[in-house]
Amino acid sequence: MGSQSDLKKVLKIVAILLVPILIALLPTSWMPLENLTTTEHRVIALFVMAALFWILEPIPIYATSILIIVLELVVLSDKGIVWLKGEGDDFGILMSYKEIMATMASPIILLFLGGFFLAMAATKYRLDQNLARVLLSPFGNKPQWVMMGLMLITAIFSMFMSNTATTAMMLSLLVPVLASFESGSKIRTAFALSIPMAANIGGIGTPIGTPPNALALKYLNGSDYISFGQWMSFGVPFVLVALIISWVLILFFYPMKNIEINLSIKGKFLKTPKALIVYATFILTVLLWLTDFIHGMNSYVVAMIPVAVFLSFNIITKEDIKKISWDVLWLVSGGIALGLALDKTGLAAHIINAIPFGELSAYLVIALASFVAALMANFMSNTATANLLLPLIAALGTSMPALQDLGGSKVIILGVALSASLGLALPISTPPNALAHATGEIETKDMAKLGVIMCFIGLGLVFLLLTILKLVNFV
Amino acid sequence: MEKIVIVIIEDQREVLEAIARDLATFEDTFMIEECDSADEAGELMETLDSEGDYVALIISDHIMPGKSGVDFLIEMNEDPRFESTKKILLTGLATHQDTINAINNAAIDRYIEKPWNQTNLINYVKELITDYILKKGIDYTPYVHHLNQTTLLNKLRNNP
Amino acid sequence: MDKSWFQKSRDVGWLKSKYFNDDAKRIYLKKGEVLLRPNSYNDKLYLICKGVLKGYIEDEHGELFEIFNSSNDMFVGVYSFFSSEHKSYSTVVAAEDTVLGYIDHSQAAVASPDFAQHFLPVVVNEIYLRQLLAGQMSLERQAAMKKLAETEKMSTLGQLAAGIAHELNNAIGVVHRNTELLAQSLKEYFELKEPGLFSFFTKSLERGQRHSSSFIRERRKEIEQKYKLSARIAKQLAKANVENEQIEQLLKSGLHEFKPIQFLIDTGVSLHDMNVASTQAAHVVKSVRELGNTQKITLVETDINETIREALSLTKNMLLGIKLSIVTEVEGKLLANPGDLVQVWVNLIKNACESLKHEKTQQPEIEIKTWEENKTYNVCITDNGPGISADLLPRIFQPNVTTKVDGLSFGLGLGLSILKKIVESYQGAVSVSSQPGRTSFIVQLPKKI
Repeated sequence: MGSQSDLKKVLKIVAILLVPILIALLPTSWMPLENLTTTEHRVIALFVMAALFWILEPIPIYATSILIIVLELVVLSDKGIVWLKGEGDDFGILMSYKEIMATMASPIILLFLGGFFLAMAATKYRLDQNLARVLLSPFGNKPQWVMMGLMLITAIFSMFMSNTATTAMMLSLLVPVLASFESGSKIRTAFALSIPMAANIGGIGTPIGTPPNALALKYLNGSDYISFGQWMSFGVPFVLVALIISWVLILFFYPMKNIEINLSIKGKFLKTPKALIVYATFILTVLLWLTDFIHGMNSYVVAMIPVAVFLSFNIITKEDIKKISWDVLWLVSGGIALGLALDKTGLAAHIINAIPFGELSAYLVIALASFVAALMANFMSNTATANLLLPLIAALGTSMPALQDLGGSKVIILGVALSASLGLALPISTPPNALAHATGEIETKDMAKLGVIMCFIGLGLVFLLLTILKLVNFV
Repeated sequence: MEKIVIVIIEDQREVLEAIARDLATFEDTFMIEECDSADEAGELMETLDSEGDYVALIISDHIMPGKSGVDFLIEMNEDPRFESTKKILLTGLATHQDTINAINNAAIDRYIEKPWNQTNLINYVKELITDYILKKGIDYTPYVHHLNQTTLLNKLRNNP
Repeated sequence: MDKSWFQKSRDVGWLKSKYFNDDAKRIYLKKGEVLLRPNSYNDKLYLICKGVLKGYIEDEHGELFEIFNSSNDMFVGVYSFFSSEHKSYSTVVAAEDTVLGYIDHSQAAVASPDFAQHFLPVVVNEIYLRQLLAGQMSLERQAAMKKLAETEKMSTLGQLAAGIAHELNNAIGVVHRNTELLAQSLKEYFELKEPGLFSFFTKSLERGQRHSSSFIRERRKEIEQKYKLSARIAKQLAKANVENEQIEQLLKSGLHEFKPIQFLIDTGVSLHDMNVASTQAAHVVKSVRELGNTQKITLVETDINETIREALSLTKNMLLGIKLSIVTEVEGKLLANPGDLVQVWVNLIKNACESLKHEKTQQPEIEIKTWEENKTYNVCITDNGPGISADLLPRIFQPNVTTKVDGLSFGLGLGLSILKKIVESYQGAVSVSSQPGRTSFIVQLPKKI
């Protein structure tokens, strides 16, 4: 059986590889784009491969990212294989190998690393659990209010911690309590649904909440730059509104009877010097992120501060460093590298110019792009979705005149990035969904019913948000 | 600075003294806490945890007035805060069922029968503390003279 | 066929009047007189007119076993009369003065064909009775065998235990004696060598480590904070029960001076612990020996209060954290084996402690009271634990009844049934009364035995 399934796997990879290889081998002149250079041709093949690999996952998605980086280094860089290099306008532009490698330590990656350090220290010194305990206490023990409290806390945490880690923590607190209710009762389903929903939505709140946000920052350069505080100024209200709507929806689908739920979280705030350093650093970092207009350090620079502090005080040890989710960081790197290739070889601009977007309504383009992002995010990794779409969308934003009136590339990048977090419908959509589904309290149809409705409401909210941002001249 | 703590639980005062005396060699580096009941140990664990200390090892008797040693160790095993804490059951009177329970539900690391042998006890303590320190990612260099060299080298080889 | 003979023959009165009406054929036996002996010739059939005859058979050792007991209107000698050999198989003795009527083969009536018919029911009845007897005896024998096997097993175990106890007793005796000897030698040595610090040794030798671990922890923290000492040193000072003033003095003169003090204390505590442990071991061994050996070895004049003190020292460890009040109203002395009494008290104290600790009674208390009343010593041990359940209370002194949840702990957990036996061996009595919050065991021991 093992060998047979291994064989199937190999066949799957070969079949998937066949498509990009075929594209790469076709003569450049056969491509449906005029004046295509050789390097652009190679990027098309690479992009197709990336898309197929990320969608069908024959290998892990982070491996695909590294594969992209290595392939770029080998066939598209100035230090690649010598026989694959060429001269002249027909050949096109080769990328600097340093630039490709730098994607693995890009400011976005380091911003995320900073976020990881904060989250890790908070978890290690039980700041998360203790905060959850304190924050939950005002919500009493009426189930609907407890649920509101849990969703708020989950959303707030997932703004700074990974959505997966937040979900895992909250479910671990919740599952033992749910066990006291009759099995299969609606209250169990309702609570188990509320956590991943809040975690997914909560990620939208800050640039470090979820990788698509950080990737969006990558494409928002120069005059489009959005600071941490600016992002939160629209992200947090968006999260709140979406959260309340989903809460109402859950209560509508799963009405709560007159029962009480008692969520007792044990423990007390640690008061050791190290714990105090963690609290202080956490507060300081967030404050610095929010006050960049005063001190001038941008989000990326600030993100490095907790890394240095925690390592200096041995709060994050060697063993902890090993536990960092390098896969998430590399997944993002691959996306950045892919975007880099599309941009530097000129392919992105080339494609966008070739498609007559100019004739389309800008509204339609934004709506379509956001919808595609949300749709893809439901079936594949949110980050991979952003990896694939954002480079194209960024190019589209700069080259489409009609969009300029609506706010240019900023508006469409934000639209796609936020929509990429609307993968809510299926257990496979996001790791939080998978975790909640694994508790056995939820059936796929429960999740799909709520997820699909919330996905459309979310899209509506994204458009509403973009409209408001336009109205206040933010974009 | 956080301390690395060994907790000993034994209701018989003389035996408790004897265990503590046998482990006195560790006292220059590790903190040894003695408790004469599981309940007292439970409170102590809370205090140690809130002070940020590392409870590396619990050595517990089984049959004691109040909560039994195995029950206490099961509780500790289920507490995520003490997930990495090593556990030794040191007893002269545990039934077959108790022992099964201790292995399956308390995940004890060692089972020592009374009367114990000091050399063996010290070796077990060394091994388990080495394991704990490496697992927790604590810098092992200040403790190296109390660690089991074989365990240390093996672990470092696999996970430098 | 004429049925009337059958009915008539079942009526002893009819048979009596028909066959035993001859006044000449009467035998008068005095109590204890023997009528028949085994294998003696007998051609007579006897009817008991008045009195009781008992039949015995003899085993190979000449011991007699009763096999029947016949009284008025019953027949005796049925077998020997009807058999061809006319031989008796048992010894038949008059259990009281007895009058017998008989018939013999010389009588004409016996020769008549009706005779056999008339006596058929008598014969059948005889066979039936013997069958019944045989069955009963076989059942009894089986039960007896079973009991015997059980007794043998227990006595083997008892002997085994006593044997082991004897061996252990010698070993533990050596340990115990030498511990005392060692303590004595060291005492003299330290007195000469360290006259200033000598008291640390004697104090710890007498008391051992009497503080609970939580007390030591608290004291340690206090010392740690007050004098800014390391946890290690603070713990040693706390364990050594060094007062604040002494600590201040030590800090002035240098902490190295604590080293010899600590050594003296450690040695003292070790010796104390060895002493306690070997005493306890000796007691256990002794009680096991006494289990296998029911007679009292030696009775000496024993002070009840002293035995209570001894029991308290043995149970010191369990009593940590329990408020203890002792009221001794008597200077009670009686002839006893002190070990027995200690064992009784230890058992009762231990039960009380376990009940208090198991149910985590708030502010646990034990009260021990002794008083004299009607030439009887009374010892009452009361705890404020949850009490003994009403269904268990009447059976509490029966064997195999336990309130214990889990095995034995270190000590003399011999159970209340043995305790009761010990008390009764002194013609004493033990009683219990229990309600939640107040459970009392009262042991009464007569002053003179």
